[in-house]
Amino acid sequence: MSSIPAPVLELRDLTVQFASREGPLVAVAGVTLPVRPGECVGIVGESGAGKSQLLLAPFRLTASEAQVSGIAQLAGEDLLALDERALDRVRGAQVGFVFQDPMSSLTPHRTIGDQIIEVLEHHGRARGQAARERALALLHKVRIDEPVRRLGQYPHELSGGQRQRVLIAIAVACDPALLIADEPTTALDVTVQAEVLTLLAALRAERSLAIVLVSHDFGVVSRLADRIVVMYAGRVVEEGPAPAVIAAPRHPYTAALLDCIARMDDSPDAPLPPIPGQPPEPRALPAGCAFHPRCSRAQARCRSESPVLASDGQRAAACHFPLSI
Amino acid sequence: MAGSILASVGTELPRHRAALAAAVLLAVLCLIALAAPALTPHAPGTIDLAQAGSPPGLGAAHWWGTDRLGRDVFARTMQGLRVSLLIGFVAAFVSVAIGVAWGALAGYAGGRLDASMMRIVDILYALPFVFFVIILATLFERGDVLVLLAAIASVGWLTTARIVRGQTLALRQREFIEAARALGMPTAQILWRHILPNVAGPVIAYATLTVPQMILYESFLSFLGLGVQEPLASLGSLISEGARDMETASWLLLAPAGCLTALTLSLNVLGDGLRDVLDPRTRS
Amino acid sequence: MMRHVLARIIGLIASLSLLVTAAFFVIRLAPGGPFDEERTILPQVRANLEAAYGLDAPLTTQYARYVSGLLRGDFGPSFKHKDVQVSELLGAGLPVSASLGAAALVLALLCGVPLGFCAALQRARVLDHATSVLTALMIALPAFVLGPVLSLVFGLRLHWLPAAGWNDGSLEQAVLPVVTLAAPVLAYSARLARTGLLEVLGSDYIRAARARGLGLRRIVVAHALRPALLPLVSWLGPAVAFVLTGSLVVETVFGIPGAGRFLVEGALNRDYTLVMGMIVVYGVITLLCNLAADLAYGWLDPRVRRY
Repeated sequence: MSSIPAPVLELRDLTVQFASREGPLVAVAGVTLPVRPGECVGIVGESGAGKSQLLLAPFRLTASEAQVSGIAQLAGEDLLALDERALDRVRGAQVGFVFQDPMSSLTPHRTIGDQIIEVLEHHGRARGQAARERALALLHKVRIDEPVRRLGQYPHELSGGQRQRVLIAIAVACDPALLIADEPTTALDVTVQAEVLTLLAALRAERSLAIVLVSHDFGVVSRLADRIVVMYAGRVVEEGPAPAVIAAPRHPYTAALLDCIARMDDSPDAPLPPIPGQPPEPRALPAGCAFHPRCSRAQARCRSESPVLASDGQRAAACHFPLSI
Repeated sequence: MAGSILASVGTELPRHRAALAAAVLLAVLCLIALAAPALTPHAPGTIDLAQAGSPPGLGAAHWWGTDRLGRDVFARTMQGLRVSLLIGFVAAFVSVAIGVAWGALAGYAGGRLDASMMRIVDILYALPFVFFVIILATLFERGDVLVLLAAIASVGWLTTARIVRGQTLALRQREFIEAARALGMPTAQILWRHILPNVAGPVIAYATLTVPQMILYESFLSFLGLGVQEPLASLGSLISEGARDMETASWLLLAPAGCLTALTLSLNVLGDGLRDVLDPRTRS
Repeated sequence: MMRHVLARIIGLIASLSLLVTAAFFVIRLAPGGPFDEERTILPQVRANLEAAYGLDAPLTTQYARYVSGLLRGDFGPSFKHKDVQVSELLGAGLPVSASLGAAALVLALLCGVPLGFCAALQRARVLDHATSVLTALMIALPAFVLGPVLSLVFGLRLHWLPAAGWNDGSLEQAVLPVVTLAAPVLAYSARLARTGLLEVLGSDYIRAARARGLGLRRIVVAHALRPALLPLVSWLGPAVAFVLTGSLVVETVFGIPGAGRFLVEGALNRDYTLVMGMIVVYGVITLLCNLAADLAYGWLDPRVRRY
């Protein structure tokens, strides 16, 4: 019997709430997400589905203060119990983050080199000349040309793709076990997107890096992910191995998202079917299944009863009338 | 445009309790200043040497005492308040109008016209405003209120012009302006219909902060003797008189000083509140 | 960078020339001369006096003479104090005003900036609110209110400090005037520092820095400080002008023999040469400080530097 390795990131029944004038706003409701070492999990959903909050809130990186309840563990350590200083030791060292807009994630008035070396020195991985050499090695690893020159340059002197690669370098500088990438390619051109994803795949293979890739773009996620989790209105509506989910989605929402993607074999004149309606406001969730107002298969039961995430071991879907296998 | 500004002010400003309190204080001050002639039997100019230098007292004939010439301090202070308010508001209005016109034109025109217009602003910014008043006070009768107004307003428009120019520059790049241009809309219309409504928010907020500035400039000049002259009084000239006699008659200083402080404080706090509501750049 | 500096210096010289020219011509063209206030003078005597002061030559000649004099540091004789050169008056008054102004600026910045930063870090707590109220008060109180009141309270009533006078700049004489002059600058500095830091702390790159596990201290010092100072630095030019104009009042209120007082008296007496001399000096100081502030801004923000 093979032993299942302990998860790098364990989120169980996680709920994230924000205070607002009209009362608490639930951004994430009872999500369970284990991430195993070396695994790549892709989290897909429209804006507002709660996918970013799910991963930022346990590390206290949300824009406004969030209330997190449930279980959040990184390599067995309870994140919610850590104070700010202890959390600082975790962020950047045991988990790396890559955000959406590379220009606004780098400090404009400090050189690239300073920012990479700073992380190394702060987390005690290297000092002085050794740190500089490691920084150069990292730049080389993320395929930045002329690394020596780049060390002395400022963020605005690099292209968007280069900046994102620098950010990836910083994120993996301290050899974390987990990398959380929140929409890492959304702000980049399509060709550059491909480069960044290839880079992530390479890093993952070399270092057995676990990656959580958040995106609204199924295409991006499918390139990299072993497992896909689909979120809607703060809940998981489907999850399973990536190829399986893509080939045969069970939840109507997943199917609709996949239908939106133009495929090579589509006829050029065929319209891309959009999903009618908008994602619901967290304050005004529909009764029953949150997706039912936009679902073409909705029935009476969907309007009154909220579906439970039913798993068969490998795949799970939260739907009363899942699509047939 | 006006409707939405009023609406947002109406709903959001009451949440800033300080700004609301300031607005109330300001209203009270203005009311008292305007109603003063009805509130007291004494006229501000009446000289009564027999009563000269009497201190304030609740039961006394003169609530706030008299000055060295026996003039009623309350009446004179209220007159000063009225003069300061008038000059402040009018000068602020004029200077904001000039600033908006200048800034919008410069920002919209861009290129060399913009550069030269803003260079003028830079040069004027570098000059101490006292210089202008000196010139105008030298050219015309000292104490002429119109001259004073012109001098003060001529300095206050600079910052407004800079703000409006900055906003206009940013707006100019936006697509809806390009669209309007592509549709062949004349420049004047674009400025009036599209640019101005969008800068109205910060301008109004800034204008409210310009009023206390203008009042302070005028008081400053009157204090030094370059502004309002006898027998007319402004808070600045009254403070100057009060400072002279403060050793023996401190109320002569404290009355106008207190009024001026209350006035500028309430205007500043109100302006800050309005700026929080109306200027998108300062939203936290 | 050098090109930037050179361009700014040329701009400064241009502004200054414009300033001097404009001031000269307007004041010369103004009606009424320094003799109007005094008793009527026989036309013959007036003509002689005007000749002695060089007022009978055509304007352009007067201008040329004046500018060449300026370049030599000669501002001409005072119209009011007829035996005294303006440069002498300035020489006596400027050091006093300069020390007063410099002391006020230093005090204001040293106290205001840290106060503003602390208020930002303690956002919405007691210190922040207290700072807010205190600075609002200091901004609303002009020097001609604060000065007399401080003089009244600490000088005439409590007798802790002298109410007026300069006494060659002894420390206890200097306290009240310096504090009066510094108060609004302190208030503005604190506010600008506070908003500057708050704005920076809300930016994405600060969140990204937090995500790298760099502690609060490191983030504030290495990532937030420089951009947080930008609004303050760009205000420093006007701050100096503010101190210059403020010194007029402070010198008048406290009876300090500085250049500012000469300017006010000169204006009241229509003393052309004195007024012009002061304006040129003030103009130079303000423009130089604006230039310095610009350069400091460029150094702080590398995106500007590269132009």
